[in-house]
Amino acid sequence: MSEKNYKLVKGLLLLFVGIWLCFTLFPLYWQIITAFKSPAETNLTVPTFWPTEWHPENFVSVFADPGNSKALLDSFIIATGNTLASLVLGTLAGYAFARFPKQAGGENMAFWILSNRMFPPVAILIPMFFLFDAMPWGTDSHLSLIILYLVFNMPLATWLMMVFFRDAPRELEEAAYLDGFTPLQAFWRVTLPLVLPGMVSVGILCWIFAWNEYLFANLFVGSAVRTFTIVIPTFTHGSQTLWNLQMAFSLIAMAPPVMLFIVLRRYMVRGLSLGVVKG
Amino acid sequence: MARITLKNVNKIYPSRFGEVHAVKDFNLDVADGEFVALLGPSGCGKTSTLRMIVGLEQITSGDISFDGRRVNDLEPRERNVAMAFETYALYPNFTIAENLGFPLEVRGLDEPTRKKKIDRIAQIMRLEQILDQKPPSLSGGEQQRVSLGRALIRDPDVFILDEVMSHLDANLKFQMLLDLKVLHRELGRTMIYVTHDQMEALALADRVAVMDHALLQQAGTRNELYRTPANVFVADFIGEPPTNFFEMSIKTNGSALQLSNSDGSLTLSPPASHHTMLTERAAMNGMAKDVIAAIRPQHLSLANGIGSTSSTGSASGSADSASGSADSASSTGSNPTITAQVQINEYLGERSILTLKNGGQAFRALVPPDTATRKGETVALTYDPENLMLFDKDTKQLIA
Repeated sequence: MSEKNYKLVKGLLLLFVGIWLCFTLFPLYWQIITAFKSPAETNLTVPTFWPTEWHPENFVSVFADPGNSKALLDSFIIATGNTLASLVLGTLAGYAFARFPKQAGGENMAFWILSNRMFPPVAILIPMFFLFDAMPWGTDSHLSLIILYLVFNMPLATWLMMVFFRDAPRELEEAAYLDGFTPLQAFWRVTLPLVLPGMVSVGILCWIFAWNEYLFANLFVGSAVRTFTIVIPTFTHGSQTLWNLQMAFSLIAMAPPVMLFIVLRRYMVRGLSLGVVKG
Repeated sequence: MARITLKNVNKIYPSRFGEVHAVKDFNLDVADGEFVALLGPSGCGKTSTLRMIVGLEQITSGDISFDGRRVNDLEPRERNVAMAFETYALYPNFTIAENLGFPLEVRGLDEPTRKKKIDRIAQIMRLEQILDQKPPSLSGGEQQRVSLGRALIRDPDVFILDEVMSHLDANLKFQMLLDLKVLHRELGRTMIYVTHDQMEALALADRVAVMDHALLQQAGTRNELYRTPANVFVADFIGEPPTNFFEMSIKTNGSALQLSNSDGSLTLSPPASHHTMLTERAAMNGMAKDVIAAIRPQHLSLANGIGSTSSTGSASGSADSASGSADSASSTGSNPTITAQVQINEYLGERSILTLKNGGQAFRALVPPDTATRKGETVALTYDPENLMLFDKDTKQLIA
């Protein structure tokens, strides 16, 4: 490619990336500036693109209702609980499908589990509500959502872990058997460390799904337990929406997944590229 | 230390396309401290056999015993076997020292004892410098030495090596062959070595078991395999370059006995000791008259140094039937000869391989490297009838 063409292509690429970034970052920009505006400024007919007056106290006022901070905690408990459960079940099931496909029910069983992830969640909303209502822990509890979200997260975890285990060389386990380990010890000491990066990325995906879920949370919980997703709409009162507080609270709720991603991104990249490129 | 006995061992894999019979009625006795190589082309069932011995694969039928104790139903860890894998199978997130110590850890050895054993093995396998590194940063040869060290460290009864040299370059291979030979002599362990490379098998093993198509073809010392191969497959598989085969039939003419190909253009003289047997076969009806004669390229040599002199025998320069039979008939007393035309003269450093043609029959001869014959030249080759191997054309089994 000639120097001129190279520059042209590079220019076009930058242009495209610039336009794309404008589209994707504009909502975030709007969210941030709105979070710092006064209620009056959020309701101007001609919007301001930069706050005339900064109101950082918005981030304090969102916690005027003590239920709001508890909602973040509830969401955290549910997301973390569900992630741990998904990882334990998904890892064991994925291992079984990868190493003992016949005994685990074969390819059809694995596909059936994956297909559970694919139907529209709203289709099971009502039946699940009655089912959980009949359970001793009821619908309005941490446990109900932790279990319910397994419907979506466990298939994902099982399927991805199965792929990671398939890529982990079998000889290592066989070597461990010959070295004197039981299958469980070999799994724990030899195989699991190999798929750990994969597990971390699966964990992040599960955690973000459970953290962000709104539809089921809205119907299932609400008084004893409230997730932050059902708190966000409560900033709309009758005819008026407190946009600044809603945006401030959303920003706070965005922080944990972003931090999680930053802390674990090294694993995430390794995990998602597992099976794509073999070392 | 253990004697290994395999008795009528079968392995059948169920598959979507019907059953795959990977190992058929395998019988082998490996003496205590013996070094046996399982040799065969890929897919012949040697790896299945080995996996059944170590316990990674179920035995479909038959018995495997160590020192008379049946081990069919024992888990791998209960058999006290150690194995070095083709892919090395080192635990990538452990250091070399941890890799070596892993088998000891599970046996509950305390830290100082483990350390002592690791140091000793590291010294034997020349790994002292790299004990705190991790496997991915090592070269193939180093990884293989770690893998052998890990197998040796816990003093196994049986030591199994699966294609351990197939990823090493030629130099390392020679070093490794020497290491293994020395290890075997020093430790006196029963060793089974699986390979598709006859050079490795013949260089290392006390006895070589040749497998093909799920069947054990022959188990024997390198001399037995070389001199008296049980069948055509073994004769072909053992030896480099491959053995020459000639489809012949027995021709008797009074007291004279010869082997001749279908159009009579090529004749071979069997050794006198086989005459009675061959006469009997010739007297039988049907296929018994047809045999496969084989002679190794090493056993064919140029009759008068460089073979250009034989062009006097066939003035036209082509090997016709008359000159072929005349030569071998005329050379009673001394060794018989075959004439043939040179097709290719391959120079391979310390020797040359001649590819020759006589009528429709192509064959090879190993000659000194300075042989200056060219394509199209006619040469005479001489052989010792004692080196002629004869196989039944039907069963492909050795008859003499």
